[in-house]
Amino acid sequence: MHFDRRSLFGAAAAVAAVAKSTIGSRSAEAKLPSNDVEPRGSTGRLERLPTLALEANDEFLTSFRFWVNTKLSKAAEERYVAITKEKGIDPKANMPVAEAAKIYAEDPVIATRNHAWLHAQLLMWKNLRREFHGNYDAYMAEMEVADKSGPGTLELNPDMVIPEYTKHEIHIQPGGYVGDPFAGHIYHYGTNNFYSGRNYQDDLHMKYASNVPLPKDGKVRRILDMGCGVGQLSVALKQRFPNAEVWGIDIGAPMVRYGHMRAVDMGTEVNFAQRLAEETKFPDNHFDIITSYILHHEVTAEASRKIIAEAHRLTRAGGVYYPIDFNTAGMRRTEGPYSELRGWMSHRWNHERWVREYDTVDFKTEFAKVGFEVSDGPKSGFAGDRPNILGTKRA
Amino acid sequence: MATSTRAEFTTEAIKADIEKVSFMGHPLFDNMMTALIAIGAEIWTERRQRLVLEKLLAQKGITKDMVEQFVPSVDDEAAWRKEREVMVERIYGQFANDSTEFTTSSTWKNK
Repeated sequence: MHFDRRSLFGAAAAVAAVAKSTIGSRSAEAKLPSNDVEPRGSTGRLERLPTLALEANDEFLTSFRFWVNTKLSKAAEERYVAITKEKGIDPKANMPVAEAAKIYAEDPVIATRNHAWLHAQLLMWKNLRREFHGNYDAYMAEMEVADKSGPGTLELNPDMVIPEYTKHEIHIQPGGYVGDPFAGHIYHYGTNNFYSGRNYQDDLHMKYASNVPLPKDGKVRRILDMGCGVGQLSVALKQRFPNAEVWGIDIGAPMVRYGHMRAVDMGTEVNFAQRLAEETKFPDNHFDIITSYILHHEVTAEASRKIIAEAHRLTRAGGVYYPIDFNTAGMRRTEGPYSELRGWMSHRWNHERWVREYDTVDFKTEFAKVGFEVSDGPKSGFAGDRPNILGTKRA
Repeated sequence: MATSTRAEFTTEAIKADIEKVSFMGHPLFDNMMTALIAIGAEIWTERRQRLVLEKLLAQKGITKDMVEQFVPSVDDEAAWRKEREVMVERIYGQFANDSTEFTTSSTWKNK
């Protein structure tokens, strides 16, 4: 199995596409802010992009990305096999990236694939950014009204020290999660492109919310979604557990602002806060369920270990931590120079800055070390057919 | 981008340097490839809008032949020219990027 976030996003989305959605579209009772910017209305849970031109542009880049990730990547893979054979290279050999780059990356098909993957993505980000910044006042005013609206609460911490490691432009998203006031808007629509257009209705997040394992006694009063991004899983969790108090935390203030606005729009009561997953400020034993969705591979190995320890501190006895991510139950990427090169390119050029550190974290060992009882949780699709790790706090 | 006194709750990001790498051996080829992708998006965008228009116009009795025969006004032409200029920038703006400092795969290091 190749460790490649792009194709795995697609795989996970494909799983989600067949999942049955149990939750309907935005609530009819939702109290919309008076200046809701929604010029083209909504399709189910998704506010349509504000212009037909932007929507069509986005559609094209989504189809193009799918083509790159399927046919073009297959052609590149075939070139890799041919070059490897031609040069008599052991396909499982360990090879320094610089050497692999010289051998493979200059091949025209492989080079085109590498360029197309990243530059189509960059075009997509730029198009979205242009729209939201081009209508800055309207979108900012919309968020400002939502900041003070409910249901649910929003906590922003402008004096908070933002750790350096969180400031990278992961996925080459301009401004990353902390540096652009519309990071949430841009991320939400941009990652719809990553999911090959199969997550417009939060299909994947709904599936995960419905799959989240319960504590042993079945009691769910409080839930925490760490590194919640724009809160798609947090909202889905609240909709699955309407009587529970649900929190979504993320270091990116623009991310939780957008998440809160969206939850308000849907009439779903979630509390969003700008907080660090490794230092949440919640009391000990406070939550019945803790989740995180593709958080760990975007933080340093050190932060990852701290987050696991923090999750253990926060979980009550019998409660669970279900961190949905790549390969949490073990098994790493396959060997070989091309696989290594692609992994490195994702790290270096797609700015998945911490993915190689993530690869060094043994989740089973780390979970056991902090005291979790370790078991196999439901499959996430992010590790092929393998299960996702589940931690249960011992009594 | 707009300058504003509104509270943005942001901090400066560590910039990605994706536009300083050449995957295709020379930044010119990279720029051409990027432009090709952008052109594809533009073509689809136009086609998509036309498909919607054709549906709506057909409902109102406007045929394709009537579209062919249409003569734009002077104001229309001026407005369309402006729009074309924006489109040209969107597609070809990439070529104006400073490409004097770039790396190619032959210089990548394992860092």
